[in-house]
Amino acid sequence: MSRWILLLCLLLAPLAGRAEEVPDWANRFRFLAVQQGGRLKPFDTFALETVRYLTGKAEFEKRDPVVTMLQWYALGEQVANLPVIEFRNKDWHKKLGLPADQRYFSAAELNANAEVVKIREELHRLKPGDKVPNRLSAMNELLSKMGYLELISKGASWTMVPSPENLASPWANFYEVQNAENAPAELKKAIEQFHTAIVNKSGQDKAVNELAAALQAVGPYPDGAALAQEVHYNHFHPFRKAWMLYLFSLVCLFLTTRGTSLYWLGVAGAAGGWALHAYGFYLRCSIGGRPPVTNMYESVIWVAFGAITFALIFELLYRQRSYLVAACSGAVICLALADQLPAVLDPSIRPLMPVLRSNFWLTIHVLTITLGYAAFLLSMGLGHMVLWKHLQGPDQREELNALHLALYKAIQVGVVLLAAGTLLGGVWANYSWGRFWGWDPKEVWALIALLGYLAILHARFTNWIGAFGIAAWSVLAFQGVLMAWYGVNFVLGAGLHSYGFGTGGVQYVAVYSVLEVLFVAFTAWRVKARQRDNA
Amino acid sequence: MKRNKVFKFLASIKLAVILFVFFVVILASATYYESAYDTPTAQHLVYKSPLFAVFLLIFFVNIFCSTAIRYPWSKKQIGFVVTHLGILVLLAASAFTMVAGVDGSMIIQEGQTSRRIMLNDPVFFVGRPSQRLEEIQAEFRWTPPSENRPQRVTLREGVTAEVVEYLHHARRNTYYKEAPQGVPAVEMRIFNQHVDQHQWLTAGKGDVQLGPARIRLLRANHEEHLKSLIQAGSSERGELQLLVAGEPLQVNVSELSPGKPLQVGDFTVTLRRYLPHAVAVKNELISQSDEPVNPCLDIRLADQKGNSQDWLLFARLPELNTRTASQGEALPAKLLYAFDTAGKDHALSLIVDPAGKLWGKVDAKAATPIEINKPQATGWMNLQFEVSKMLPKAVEVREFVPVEVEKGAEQNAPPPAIRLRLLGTKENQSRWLERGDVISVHADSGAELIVGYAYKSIELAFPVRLKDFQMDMDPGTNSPAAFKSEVEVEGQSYLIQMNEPLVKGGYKFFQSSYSEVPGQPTYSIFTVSKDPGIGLKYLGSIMVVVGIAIMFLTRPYKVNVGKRAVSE
Repeated sequence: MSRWILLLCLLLAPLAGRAEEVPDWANRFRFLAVQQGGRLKPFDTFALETVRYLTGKAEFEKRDPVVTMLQWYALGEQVANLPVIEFRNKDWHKKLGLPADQRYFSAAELNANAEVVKIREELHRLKPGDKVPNRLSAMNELLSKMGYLELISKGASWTMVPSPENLASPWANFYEVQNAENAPAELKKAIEQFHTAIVNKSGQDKAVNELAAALQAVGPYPDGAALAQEVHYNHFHPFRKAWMLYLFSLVCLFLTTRGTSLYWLGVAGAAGGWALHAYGFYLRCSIGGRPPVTNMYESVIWVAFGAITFALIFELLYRQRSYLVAACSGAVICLALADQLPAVLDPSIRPLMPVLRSNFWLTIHVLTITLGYAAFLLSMGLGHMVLWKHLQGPDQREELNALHLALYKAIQVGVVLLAAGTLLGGVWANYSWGRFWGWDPKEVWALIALLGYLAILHARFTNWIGAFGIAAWSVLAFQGVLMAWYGVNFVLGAGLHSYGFGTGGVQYVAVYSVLEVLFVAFTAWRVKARQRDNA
Repeated sequence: MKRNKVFKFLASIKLAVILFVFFVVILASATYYESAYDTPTAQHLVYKSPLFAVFLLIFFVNIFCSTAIRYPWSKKQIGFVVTHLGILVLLAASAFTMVAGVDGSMIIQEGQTSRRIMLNDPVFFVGRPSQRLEEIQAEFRWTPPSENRPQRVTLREGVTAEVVEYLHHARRNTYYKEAPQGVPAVEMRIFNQHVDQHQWLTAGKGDVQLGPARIRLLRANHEEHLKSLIQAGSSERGELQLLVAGEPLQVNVSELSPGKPLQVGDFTVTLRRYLPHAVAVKNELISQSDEPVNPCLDIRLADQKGNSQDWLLFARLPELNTRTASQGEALPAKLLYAFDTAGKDHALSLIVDPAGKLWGKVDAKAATPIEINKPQATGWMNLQFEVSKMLPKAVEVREFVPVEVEKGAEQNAPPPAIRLRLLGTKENQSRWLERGDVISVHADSGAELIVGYAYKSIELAFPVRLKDFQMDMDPGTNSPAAFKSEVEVEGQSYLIQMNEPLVKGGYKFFQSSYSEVPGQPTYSIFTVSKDPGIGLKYLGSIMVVVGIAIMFLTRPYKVNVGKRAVSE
């Protein structure tokens, strides 16, 4: 028992607070508004996203991103000597003659590289509408990062000065204001004072207060409560807390059987995690002003949420333990990945593409499909449990029957939801594009995933597969779901659902799929061998 | 019936499972093709291929038989029957859409009217000039022809198109070669440290916008005309536009010297008077000053058969354009006088004098002689220009070369082009047709034939006018938040925007794209669709979902590990 508690402590360690103290004035600055990426956000979010974009980590060198940003601003041109730009492209390291194991570079270092300069010129020759050739996309990103760092150090990316007209008009940045002749003198002075204060490291408190007052005097300013809510969301990490609780619940359920107090502790843990999960969703909806189901990060979070929801309902109905074990495993993996891989699963809140805005059918269709994925995630977990039991031997018949029933129910829920979601997708497509079905890759893979499970449901009426076969094939059929969910956007990258495209993680997902196939093949071989021995 | 082995097989669950597996394999490979090549390839190879239709038919038969074989249905089978009938309805509705549906696009220029829905099928359209043009299928992408394996398409009037080359993305290279019947042409470049652009110019082609500069090549017909062209002072007199059979021809008015006819296409244009500041005094038009306040042209247009028309054309007041006299038959040409003052500051005129020598005139400064391959300053943004080649008599040669287009960039890629021989005409050399080209040929029978290469289109019963196109941006960014078009149909105004289509006459018009290039007219692009099967599809969808739910809620699942899983 103590071993488990020790493990739990290790896992929960990251929850402990940061070591460094953030000064009050920086905490005050955090709540000022920035207009960026098509929406208004607190500086806290802007700093988090910017530092993550440049360095690959929000808490670069374990510093609060707001502090990092202010430090870069204070450094001015000197920032070019700071090795803060993350660049990890092996091919380009070789081509540029950079040390293979170096991860962070300074802008000055890169600017001194003749090859970098040459590529910059090549990219500059592209006409405005031209697409950057694929072979240069990594370099284009690197050069954008270098340019952006320079803008930060000048104050040119700090679009924090409201428009006198309304909230939606373009805001001005510090650099612009300081160099504009007709800008209010008060404001210019406040920005200058603030910059001097952070350079000299004295009088920052007063400077920030005066800057805040000067900014708010320029024009309409966003609601302080909304900005505070977003800062709270950034620091509260509801999804991280949720997966830790799910992990706790998983450990409890592993150690017990049904109906014990430890079982109920596990259920309570999952319910607590679910509440945090729901709260995180509420915050995200409230900040983004829309249901959070439009990029990979949000769908991963939502699928985990769906799986836990289904499991809790089933658990309350049937008290099986297996539902929650499967759902918690899946949810922990989903949420931990979302938490740890911001480069692949981008957690920033962005405005929607025009085609996705204000549409009831879109929301319904995506939520239904992804709930279907959630049910299949649950069935995938249960499938593994069934296979594992089969590996252990045929003597646990009663337990196996219960597990099979659970698996079958999960597949049923998934099939209903995926079928309904795919057809609702047709309604949405007809509404938005004028055709019900157009063989778009995302549509097709949703259909393939559905067909996979339908094949299982039909095959059980033939003598081709039995209870074991259902479990084995359901694990394999989940690979179709994975392809529809992740693969179309990240592997194929074709079709009309291009607003959800991304890159990264392909090799890990491929390895996972191969391991699944091997695991199923191994189990089938073992079970067959045992049957033959018994016969 | 139930004993029939074939029927039993067609109704069997085993066949269903086999079909499911096949379906998965087919679809997965189609998405692979789509990712590796492009959407049309996947559509051609799989989704729109006859074999796929046959597959879906077998699927339909399987579902139909499996439902029929269980008739009469028991209460327990309600879910099963509803689901499977729903799928049959969905499949039938899809087939109906394939046959009777329309999925095309409509491109309308701001301020203009259109009633054409473009479909995705390439066609030749052919016919006599006065008749309706017929469309003949002209898809060459999937089996590209070559010189050794040409493809023949029978057109009209005994003319056959022998297509010998097809380029899916073809870049047009235009250059000039000497020919006795030609007009002057120069190859020039304009450059500074940032830009370097090459351009061929020909006389009688009007102005060319090259970077910040408007450039034209003018011919001086005689010494006096030359003098007026090369002296200091603005030689800007605007452009005369001739629309002949839809094809615009442009003449720089500076090129016209009073009384001397100039050949433009099949016509001659003679400038009778140029009135920069036209006013009517005592029923007579005179020019009040030399400033282009109300530029007016008194022009004679004539064809080779002796038919002619005299016109008064006003650049600022085109509604006052009047025909003052005409002789012989009516001419199939429309005239328009344009005097655009925008960008006038950066004008570069190259002038060919009667002796074949070249002069360069920057803005209103006096012209200076030009030597080949010797750069000269323009005085704007450090730009220099240089003439590298000068042909006194030249004709245009168009060549097409294939272009490799990177995935995802297809939308802005150049259009397809075909090279063909027109058998049954006097033409014996092959010629290129780019998509959108229209040519006129004389068949051996003597008849004139219009041949075009474009997309198939449907004509709407009602015209659609684009009144206005607007775009909103996300706050503080350049990414469009929404774009919308104000259109007018049958006297009524509608707003079409994202997710808010216009429904009219069974068609739905969706805002799908736009083209907004500085210096060019704005176009709004709509997706237009008609799906008569949509009601059935919704019905089928509801049946499927409800049916599955009923099945799962009413039919218990029994399991007994160790034995095969059993059904009922």
